[in-house]
Amino acid sequence: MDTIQPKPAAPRQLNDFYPDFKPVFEQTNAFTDFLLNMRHKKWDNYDAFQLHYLAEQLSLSQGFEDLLVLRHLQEYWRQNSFLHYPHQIETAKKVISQLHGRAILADEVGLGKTIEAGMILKEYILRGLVKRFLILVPAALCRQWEAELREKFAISTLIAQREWDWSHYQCLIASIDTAKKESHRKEIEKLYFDLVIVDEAHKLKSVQTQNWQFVNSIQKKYFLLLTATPLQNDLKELFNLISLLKPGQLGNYRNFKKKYTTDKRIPKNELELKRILGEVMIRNKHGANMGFTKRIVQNIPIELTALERTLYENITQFVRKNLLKQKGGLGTLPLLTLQREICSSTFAAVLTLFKLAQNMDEDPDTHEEANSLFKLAQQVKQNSKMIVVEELVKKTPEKIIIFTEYLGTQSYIRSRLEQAGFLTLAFDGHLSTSKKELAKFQFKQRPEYKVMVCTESGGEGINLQFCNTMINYDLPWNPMRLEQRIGRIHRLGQAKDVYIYNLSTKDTIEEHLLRLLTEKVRMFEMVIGEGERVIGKLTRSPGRGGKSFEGRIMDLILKTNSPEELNQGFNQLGKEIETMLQEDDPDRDDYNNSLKVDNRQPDLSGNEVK
Amino acid sequence: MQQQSSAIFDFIVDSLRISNSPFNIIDSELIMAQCQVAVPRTFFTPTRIETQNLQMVCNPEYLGKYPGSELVIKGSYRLQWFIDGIRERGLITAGTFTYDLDPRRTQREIIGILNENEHLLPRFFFEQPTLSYHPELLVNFRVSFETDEKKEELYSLEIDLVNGEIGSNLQTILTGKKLHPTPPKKNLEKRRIPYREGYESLFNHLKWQLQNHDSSWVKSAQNRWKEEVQYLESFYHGNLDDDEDQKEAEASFYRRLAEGYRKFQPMIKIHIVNVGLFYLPVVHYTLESYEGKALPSLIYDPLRHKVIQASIQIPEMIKNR
Repeated sequence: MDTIQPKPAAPRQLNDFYPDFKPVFEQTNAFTDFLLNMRHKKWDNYDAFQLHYLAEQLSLSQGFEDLLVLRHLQEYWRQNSFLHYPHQIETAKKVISQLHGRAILADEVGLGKTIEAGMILKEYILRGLVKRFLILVPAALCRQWEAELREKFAISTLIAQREWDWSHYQCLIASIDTAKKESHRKEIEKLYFDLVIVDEAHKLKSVQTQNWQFVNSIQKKYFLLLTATPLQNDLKELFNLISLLKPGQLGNYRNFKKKYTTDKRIPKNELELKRILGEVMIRNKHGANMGFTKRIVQNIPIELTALERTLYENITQFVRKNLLKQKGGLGTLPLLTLQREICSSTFAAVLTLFKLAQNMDEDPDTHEEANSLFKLAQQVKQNSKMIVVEELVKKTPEKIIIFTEYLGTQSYIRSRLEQAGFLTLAFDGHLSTSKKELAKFQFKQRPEYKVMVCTESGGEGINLQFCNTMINYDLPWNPMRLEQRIGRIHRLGQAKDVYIYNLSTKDTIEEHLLRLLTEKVRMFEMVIGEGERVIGKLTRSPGRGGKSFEGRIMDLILKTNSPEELNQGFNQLGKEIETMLQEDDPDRDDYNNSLKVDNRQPDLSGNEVK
Repeated sequence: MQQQSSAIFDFIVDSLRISNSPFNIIDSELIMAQCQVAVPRTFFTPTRIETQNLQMVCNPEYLGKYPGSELVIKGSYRLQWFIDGIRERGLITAGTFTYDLDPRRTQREIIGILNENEHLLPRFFFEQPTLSYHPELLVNFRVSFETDEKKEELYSLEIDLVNGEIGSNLQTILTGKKLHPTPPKKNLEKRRIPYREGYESLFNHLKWQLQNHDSSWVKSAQNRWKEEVQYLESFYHGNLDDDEDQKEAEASFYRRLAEGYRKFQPMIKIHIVNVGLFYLPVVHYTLESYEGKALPSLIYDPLRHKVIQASIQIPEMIKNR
């Protein structure tokens, strides 16, 4: 095909650019190939000739009303016991027939965005519309994608790692970090891809980032963006994501801002915005009939030892005092981290305390205090939570995944379990892709590895449906991260009921937090995903300053001086939540939520299938 | 649905038959076959051949009746597997449609055709006919109409390599007919048009046909393209404050425009499916009118049941009487 050379023209008129919109003829095979065999009289029999013609008739590509992929893989899926769900089929159909292959797949966690993307990819391959494709994913998910496409869709792919791969292979998966490197990027920009899929696309929310600019520079025909959270903090993020997919769908940013935003978090003209978004985004939500197994949650309160209690209270006091100073001192971030770490375990906090004790810039009193806290922390040899964990691991016959927020806690859990005779696997952000794959493989296949201890950063996007027991050693302060954790095992494809054990230490923030989540938000009773909507109400409601859920918890810590006050603070927050959950018409409310922003995911799409 | 499943059933049976794979049919419902399958070279060099036992039904209702059988329907993997296999076969073929020339029967056939139009009833004497065989080149094409969407159609065209006449119904006419695999031993007309030239004529004819084809698919792609350009315009126009940014945006705009055009640009891809060389009978008559006047010759095509020239010449003759 001729290379297209756009003409520079002003004013811009479509006809000036490409006046000719006539079909171009292309012959895909040559008569000479046939002629040669005719001259050599290599005739096949007439029945074969007619059968060949019939074969072509049977394989003609028709409209997009029916998905070929369903019939094509029906037998394969039956043999491999793979189940697909109606919402996935609907999504694939809609993307192909109505959205013409450009869409944001923004299903809630665990609903199978990968499956939907796989269906769309396979459909296009079967119809001969996609030959060269590229899937860009975080490094840790490359192998998972490769395996899913191979096992569920019989698509063989290569994980591109060398510059040479780009032009020599057509079916590629790559880590976005590898692909955007200058040497790789140059190769990629020379190519034209029939389909590009970007997983975890929320990482493309800013135009300034290399990721956004790189993906924008790839030449592509069809384009899918996969993310459960297309919008986190700012409506501009959504604008940027859509500009990548279909620039101009929302006009330019000035107009978008003027027309659709009140401030960066609150939209206006919601109905129109929703309609426009429906043309590029599909968001399926969890519903009662989605095929999820039960979620059985047990909260286990744990009594701290005297030493642990002293350390916890001293650290909380230390954090509060230093945060209220507001100028100079230790900086907000280490203090916030310290408060969270001590809620996780003393072993997580000890490293931060050590760093604070080493920091000579602070005033001598603070330095002295940090030093004494560090010494106190060193005296704690075991955490009460761990005794409960050991018992749980002993009495549970199945494999268990333990989640924690901190590496210090992770090492402690592992060393204690190994001392108790259990082989464990670590899964965290420090592992290379291949080590992560190995860990997943060992956990799945080898019976001797009973426990996997996972941090959140390591666990992003991984699927562990084969495991149905989870221990939350500590609780993340952002409830959505808790949802993400549970989503690793409680997702479509999980055959058994899921058991979740939440450990919380008595008379600490954790206890209050867990009570709030359990009693007021009723987080664990919900089907996965509903929590998002509830948490969204808290953070988006007017008068709350748009603070995140985590921010509100931290406020409570800072503004209360005694356990009673803290308790009252949490009760107050709980009441707010209850009132909020009761006050609005659920449908209307859900709709409003879907058009407002917070640090979790709203639904802005008109294409929801519940 | 029923019709489609029986067409697929027949297709599989025919595929097994022509590939000489042993098979059994149970109650016209289940096909049990043993196929030789080449394991891809990727794994074995040279390619390894393995025997595979298949149990197939083409109607979903029979799945329960034959547990363990595989459902083969339109779009299914197994059907595609057979299709891909058959695509290696039947690329070129040659055959003769033999015609036994019996003057009385032929005369009856011609009168039968002419009787359909009473005013064309013959006013001439049938002389002794001569039979000859014309080589015809039949080419089947698969045509894809591609924009950001795609649809496909099959086209079948043939050319008489003696007189250059082009037609489009031979593929249909030959379906179900018995053909002799070798050329006729006598009465074979020498071809005056080389294969390549004949093919070129067919290809040009196809292009001409396609140029006059329903263009709604182009129009709808053009509308989508226009919409895309409008979006691009609204995105890039006036989005930026300084000249530097404006320049960058301009470049980005043109790049996006080119990318979009490539997506929506209508393409007609023509793929040759297979090529057949067929020797088809033609019966010639020298005519004489009742008045003893010599008339142009009448040509009868027994395969297509068509009287050529006579239909044009005869009214003239009647008028002249």
